[in-house]
Amino acid sequence: MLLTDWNHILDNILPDESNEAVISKRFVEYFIEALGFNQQEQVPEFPTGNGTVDFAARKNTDGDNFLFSKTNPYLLVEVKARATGAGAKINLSEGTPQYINTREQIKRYLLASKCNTSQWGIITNSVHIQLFRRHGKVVFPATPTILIKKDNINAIVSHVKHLIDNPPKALTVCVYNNKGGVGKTTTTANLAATLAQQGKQVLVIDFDPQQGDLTKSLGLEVRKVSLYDCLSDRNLNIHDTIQPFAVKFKSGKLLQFDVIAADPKLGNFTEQDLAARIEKGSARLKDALKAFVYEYDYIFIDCPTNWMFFSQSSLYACDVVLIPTKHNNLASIDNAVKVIKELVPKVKAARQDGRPIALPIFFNGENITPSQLKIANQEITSIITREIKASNFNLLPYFYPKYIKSDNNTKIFSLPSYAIVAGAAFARIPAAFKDITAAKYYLELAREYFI
Amino acid sequence: MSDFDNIGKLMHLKLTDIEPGDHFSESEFIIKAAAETVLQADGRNWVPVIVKEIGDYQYQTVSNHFVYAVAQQAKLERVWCIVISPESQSIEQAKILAREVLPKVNLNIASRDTILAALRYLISEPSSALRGVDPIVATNRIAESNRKTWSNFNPIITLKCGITKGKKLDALAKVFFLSSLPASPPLPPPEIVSIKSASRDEVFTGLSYLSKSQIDGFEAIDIEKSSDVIFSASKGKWKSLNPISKLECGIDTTKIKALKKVFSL
Repeated sequence: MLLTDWNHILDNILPDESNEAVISKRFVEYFIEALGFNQQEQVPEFPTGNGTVDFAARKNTDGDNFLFSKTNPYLLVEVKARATGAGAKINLSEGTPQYINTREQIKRYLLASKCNTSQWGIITNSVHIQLFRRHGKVVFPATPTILIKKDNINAIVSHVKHLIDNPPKALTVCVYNNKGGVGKTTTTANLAATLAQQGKQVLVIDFDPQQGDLTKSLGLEVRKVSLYDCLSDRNLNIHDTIQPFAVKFKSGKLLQFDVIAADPKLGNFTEQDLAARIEKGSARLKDALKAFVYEYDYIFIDCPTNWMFFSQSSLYACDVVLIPTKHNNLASIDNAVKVIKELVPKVKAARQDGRPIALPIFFNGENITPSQLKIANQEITSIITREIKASNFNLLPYFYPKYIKSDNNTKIFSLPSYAIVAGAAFARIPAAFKDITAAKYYLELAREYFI
Repeated sequence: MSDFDNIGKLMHLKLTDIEPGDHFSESEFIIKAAAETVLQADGRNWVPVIVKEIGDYQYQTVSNHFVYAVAQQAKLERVWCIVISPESQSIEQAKILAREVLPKVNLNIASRDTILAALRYLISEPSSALRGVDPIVATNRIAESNRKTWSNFNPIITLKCGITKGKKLDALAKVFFLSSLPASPPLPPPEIVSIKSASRDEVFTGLSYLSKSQIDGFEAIDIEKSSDVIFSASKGKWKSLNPISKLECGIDTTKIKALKKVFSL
């Protein structure tokens, strides 16, 4: 392949170019080609089923030419100009209104009906660029927003190409709230069971060694090779830590998900000698789990409440953070805000890959009367207003994801209370595997966020 | 130093992950005997090797090479190390603290007391080349001379303080250095550009001028990073250059005034 002359390409675009078509012609087409899609493998103005995206791309296979069939896109690209017609700069750096609009636009396209096969989305105006990944219903950053310069454009191309040529299979989810008692472990076990029921390959990691509730609730014990062993010794095979949790139903059907049990050795983590063998500190778990990202559909990490090694590692290793709260527990809502506003950004800054992101909160396992819901909503509204005023941080999408100006939709997903769920721990089997109603509730939760 | 790396932490690292740094030699007797004491402590070295990270899970010794040699002699699987940040100043400091290199002072600006202490140290060394030099006389003459612009030690010969050309003069380089640069003509300032519409390169040119001209401490700013941050910031609502001080790019309120030499709104 000929080396693309990026210096020439970038010099050829006016600093305040306001014509999107020019950016497409002089930059984006070269970029898509550099990612390995030829002229026959890209379609401009692709109808997604929910608006038209500027470019769609996919490799051709025998007898199927994407340019003609225009089906099953793999990558979508949304292009913006560098400036408006009036000369104002279009700034796609993270957090600007233009960035947020464009991000929401690519999300909408990636989730549209004719893009079910799409896995990647790019937004760019030839000044900034960001790659997003789609997994089921979730769209999240695969890179940070990058400022394009002559000295980094080749690195950007090869990084993006490497990612889209080697798509990870899994979505890694950390179920976390900085406040305890919100049902993190129950949610993790039942979501794993539900997704396994849906035919997904699921791995659950109990990273709460002091309690090990998940491991106990499934009646499992740690294997000969433990997670601590693998965190401290890179030569061990982390696959040896896995054990299946399988349930055979009367119908003969077998359902299974895999578990890495809580490691009691990690419970003594505060001892210097143990911590001193885990290189990179809280960044180590992510590396250790790398192989699984290409093997499972979902990886769930259950971690303890306090902001320390275990929770930091879990947030560092995940793509998205699912935050259970209780409507009648103000502390659980306040702590959700802390996770969204402080902890997730802290980890994101350390990782430099645009992740993790927080998913919208949900109310977990309590029945809500209309008057209780009203009080909870009043509280949430005042928190949202307070944070906007205090630090210009917009919490609205994390509490009311369906809210749009024309329709003040303040619905928060709520998982109803159900005695069987709480009692299931004694049966050593997640309620979603055992009880039709529980299964239905958790399927709704899985559908709300993931499938 | 953060929760997500090893910097500043005492780590128990695999010996095979650590490369030797500088060449090191010590008598076989000392190394073997020291290894024996480590083995008697169940393989625990109470004085750590100082290492830096040179790649993913890869380290190199930067100081306390002796401990590294002892760990190898003792055939330890893991050795206790402190991982330090890889900047050259940090490594230099570790070597100074481990008494592996001598600290040096800038003779262009060193105080009289510092010069005296440094000369006394040199003279007191066994078989010192400066033996016979009177440290007080030499210090007085050097301290009083016009040394701010010295770019080598030769002017000391003319001070007639007992430090003559050759071994004596060369010995000074063990503890002194000079950093005065020949004065260069001032750079021409770039054209003032609007910060709101400036391209990234224009922002860089402006900051680069302030940095190279050493105006108001801009020489200490990472101008590559600051240019990216300023360029990417939302500037539509700016009514002055003051919001730059809130971007956390190292440019605080005391530096805003200098920015006006290169940027307008």
